[in-house]
Amino acid sequence: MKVIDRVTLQYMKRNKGRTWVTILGAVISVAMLSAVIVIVCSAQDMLLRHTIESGGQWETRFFGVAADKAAGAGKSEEVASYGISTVGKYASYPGGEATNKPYLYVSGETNFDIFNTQIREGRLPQTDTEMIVSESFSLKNPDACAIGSRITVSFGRRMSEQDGEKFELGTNYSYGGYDETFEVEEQKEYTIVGIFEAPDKEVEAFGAYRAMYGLDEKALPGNGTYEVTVDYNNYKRLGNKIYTISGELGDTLGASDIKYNTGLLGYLGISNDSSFMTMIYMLAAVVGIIILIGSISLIYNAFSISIAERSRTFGMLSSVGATRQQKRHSVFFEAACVGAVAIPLGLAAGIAGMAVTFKIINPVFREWMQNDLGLEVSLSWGGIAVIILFSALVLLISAWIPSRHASRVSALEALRQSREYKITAKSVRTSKLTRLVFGFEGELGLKNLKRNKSHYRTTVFSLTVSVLLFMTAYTFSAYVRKSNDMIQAPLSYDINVSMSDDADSMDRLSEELMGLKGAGSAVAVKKLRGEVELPADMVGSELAAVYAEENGKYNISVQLLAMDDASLRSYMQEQGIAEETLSGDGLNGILINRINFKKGHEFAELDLLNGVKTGDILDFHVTDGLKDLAEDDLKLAAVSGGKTPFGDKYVTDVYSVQVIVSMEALDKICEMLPEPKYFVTENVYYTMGENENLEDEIRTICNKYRDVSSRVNSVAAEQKEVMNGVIIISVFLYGFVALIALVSMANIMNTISTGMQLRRREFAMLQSVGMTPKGFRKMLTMEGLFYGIKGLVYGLPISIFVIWGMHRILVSNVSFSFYVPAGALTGAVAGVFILVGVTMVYGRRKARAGSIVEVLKDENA
Amino acid sequence: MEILRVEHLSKIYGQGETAVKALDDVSFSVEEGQFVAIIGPSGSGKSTLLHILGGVDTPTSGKVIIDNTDITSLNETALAIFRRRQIGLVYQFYNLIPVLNVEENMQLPLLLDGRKVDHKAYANIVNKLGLEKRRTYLPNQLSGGQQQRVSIGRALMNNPAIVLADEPTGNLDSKNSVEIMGLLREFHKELHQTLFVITHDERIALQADRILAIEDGKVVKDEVIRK
Repeated sequence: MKVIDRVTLQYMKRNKGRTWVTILGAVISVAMLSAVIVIVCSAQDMLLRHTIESGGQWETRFFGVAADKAAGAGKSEEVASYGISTVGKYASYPGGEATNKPYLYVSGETNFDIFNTQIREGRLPQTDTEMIVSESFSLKNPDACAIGSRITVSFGRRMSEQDGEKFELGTNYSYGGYDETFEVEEQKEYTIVGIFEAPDKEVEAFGAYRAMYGLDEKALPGNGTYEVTVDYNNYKRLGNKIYTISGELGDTLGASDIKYNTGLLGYLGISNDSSFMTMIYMLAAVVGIIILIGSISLIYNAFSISIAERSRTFGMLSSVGATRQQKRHSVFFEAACVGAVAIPLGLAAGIAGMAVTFKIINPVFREWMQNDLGLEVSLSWGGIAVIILFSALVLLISAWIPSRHASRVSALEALRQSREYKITAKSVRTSKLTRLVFGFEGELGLKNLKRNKSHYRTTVFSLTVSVLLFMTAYTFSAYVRKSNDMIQAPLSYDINVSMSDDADSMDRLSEELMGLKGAGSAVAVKKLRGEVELPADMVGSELAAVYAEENGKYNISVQLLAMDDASLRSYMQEQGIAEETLSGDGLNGILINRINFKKGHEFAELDLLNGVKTGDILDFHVTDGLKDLAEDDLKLAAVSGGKTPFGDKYVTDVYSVQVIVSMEALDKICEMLPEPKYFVTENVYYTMGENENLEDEIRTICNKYRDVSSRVNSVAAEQKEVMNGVIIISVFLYGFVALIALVSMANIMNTISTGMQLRRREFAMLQSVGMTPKGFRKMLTMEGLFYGIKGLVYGLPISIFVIWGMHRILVSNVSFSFYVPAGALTGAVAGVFILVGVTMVYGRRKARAGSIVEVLKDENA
Repeated sequence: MEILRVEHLSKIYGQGETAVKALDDVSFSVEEGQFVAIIGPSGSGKSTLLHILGGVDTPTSGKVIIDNTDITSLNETALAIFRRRQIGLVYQFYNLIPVLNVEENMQLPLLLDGRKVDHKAYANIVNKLGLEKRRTYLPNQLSGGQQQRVSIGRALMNNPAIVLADEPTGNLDSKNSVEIMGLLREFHKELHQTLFVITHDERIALQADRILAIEDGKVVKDEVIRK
């Protein structure tokens, strides 16, 4: 080994503390870099797995392939597996007419695995008389889907008419949005052999459940074309070649069209508009750059210090005849040694750290994504290469400038140690106030701070950055949490079932739902939407703002609400309204006029309508936009100001007026309507009670009613979902901040303890002149204090500014005014002083090492 | 009046086989106002003696009594306080605090003590040292000779019982050396300052009132050359 290298190595060994701090800093930096890359690779991997789980592993789909050419896909050596499908066709099934999904979308398949078809019951079909149906179909038609039962379906086409011309409705036309008829072409009978789940397949056609029968590759019916789906060998490695290969294969198959699995390819980064992965890479790059800057500053600092300590050696090397190159070499050698240890360690630490993190957050993550796929540590060779390259780059850059300094140290300078950082009278000037307030030791401490500009700047910068990151992360987390609380705040129920479509079935479903036991409370509400025309002066300003005035009148949307008896009675009792108010002939209603309105960040009580009183009669009508379908005189039997016994504690928007009527009155109006289902909806609101399975029971009941469109909204579940999201974000955020803080801490400790070391002679001299140990402690404490204060003086205002900016950006989604969480402030202040305190204690110990006289005599100090 | 008494002072470094006896049972006493030169070859123990006298090093055995105070029995804090009030130290190099200017460096012991500066005395010393125009200069703006002058000023500022100087001219050229010794002698005469100077330069030693020669940790000669 060259002698210079030997000397360098020996120095590194002798100054274990310094060397380990440098290595630690480098390890942390590499670990952080690795972590970012691992997250990117793992996220990509998870998204790929998710896509494959949903729709199977395939890359290209060929359309319009003739029967005799279809099997040609198997002959290509690029293809790992392939599947041949018939073109899907709509088929109606018995009993589906009255439902909102009256069709099956049926296709024949040779390969079910390529689409990741999961069999839930039974088995895959083997012939074209055997069929498997989707799970959602079997849930709604359990009897028809018993394994082994037969089902007769009628294949046909959905037809509609426009401007006198007939046209076919394809798979992307919703059901119910058009007047359509179904033209049957042929009937076929199948035996149901299995029930499957294949998420992507399920949503291939509107208005239809999915069904598939078996297809034999060797016996493809000659008429008609087929679709061939292909999975290539090593598809992940193919990159953009997939397009050329597919193009060629398409020609071989004589395909009329080629489509790609854009989801899969997108996550691989090779889709034609793979903006997603690009975005992820850019995000990673931004984070990576922040890490790089932090790392470089830390490692640069470490090397700088190491050079400063070794300046005598360098000077001596000069005097013995070492060239600049050789001296530079010493620094790079040190960098190489640090790298050799730090890079593997950092890589391992980053990977291990991420593995642990994933393990911890996976339960939460799975719930959040609502699937079984957790994050798994995945790292491509490319990723490893990037990490090693960038780490080496960081070390190189960090060592570059210090190496040039080292090479320039002349023999004389080093031997004399006269090259101190240039101290000028101006730079160390302190005000008279300082001595008065902090004492002479304090003044000395402050001057010490100012003497070495670069040390000072590094330390204050690190402190400021730490404060900034901590406060931003903490506040962001707090804001997200608070936002979520506020969204949930107005709701007074836990579960909301909303129903529409078939009025009769809705009533029955509602009744059954109300019968569930174990809920805290339950309210069933039937709502009818209509309008009332009012003169402009009767309409309150908030309400008027959302409508357009027409001839001095407004057409205000009015909702009639009818509750179940028990709830209505308790509501009226609560409001102090006599029970008979709503009974009697005619349409009597209780107008809810006064509401709690939240505008911006303030609450106010608001009257929706002006000048209404008991006994007023409003002309209520239900209209389809062109004509009145029903009409009645709505007599205001009472005007109330209470909130509804369900629904929101306060509203942020007003657009309609609610009137409570009796169930009979509501039903009477509904009878007047030709198609009540377009205007009537029903809700059941629950609060949670002792029954934990309430939600499941609700869903089971809802599934029974096929003709009702029902939706179950669980506030608790939603809240959990958001909280999970918050937890995940917080974990990463805090993890990131913790690591940056660690890097900063290492930086600061390094800098300050070195400063101490370099001043040992000076300290000894102070002691010899008569500074007591107490005075000495005071001086160092003051230094620490000043650093801390400076860090906060810069860090806090910048943080507050950044947080304010954050609030501005979020203000549209956030309904609270700007504030800085107390925890952030206390945390930042405490953190800074603890950090500085610890560093000072550590540095002090180094500074006091050795008796005064030893240090004074030791020219090497 | 006896200002300093050293009784059976010994200092041993290391242990067992590698033990080095820097000072071996040294005893002497000094009257107030005496200018003592300590001479001896390198490694003789003179620096060790000076450091012990200055309260900067502790003896293995023996006592040092300055102005009726046994400094060897004081704890660290008390010793530090004693140092700044009663002892002035001048070293060969690196005496000054880089961040303090000339005035502050000179007043350092007083600043540490929190005492008010006697401006007349200060002005007197500064002028004698020829530094009145450089009061606000920082050490890195002064020459070696000027820096030593500041050290002397600092050593004298608090009117200490004794001033100890370890090769004060070792780092200076001959012209500066002469000037420094001249200043020391002048202050010694004017303020009746008890003065200890370690030197290997015979010419300087001969300027003293008394010469102590140390060899191998023992006092081999103790001669008063002028009264």
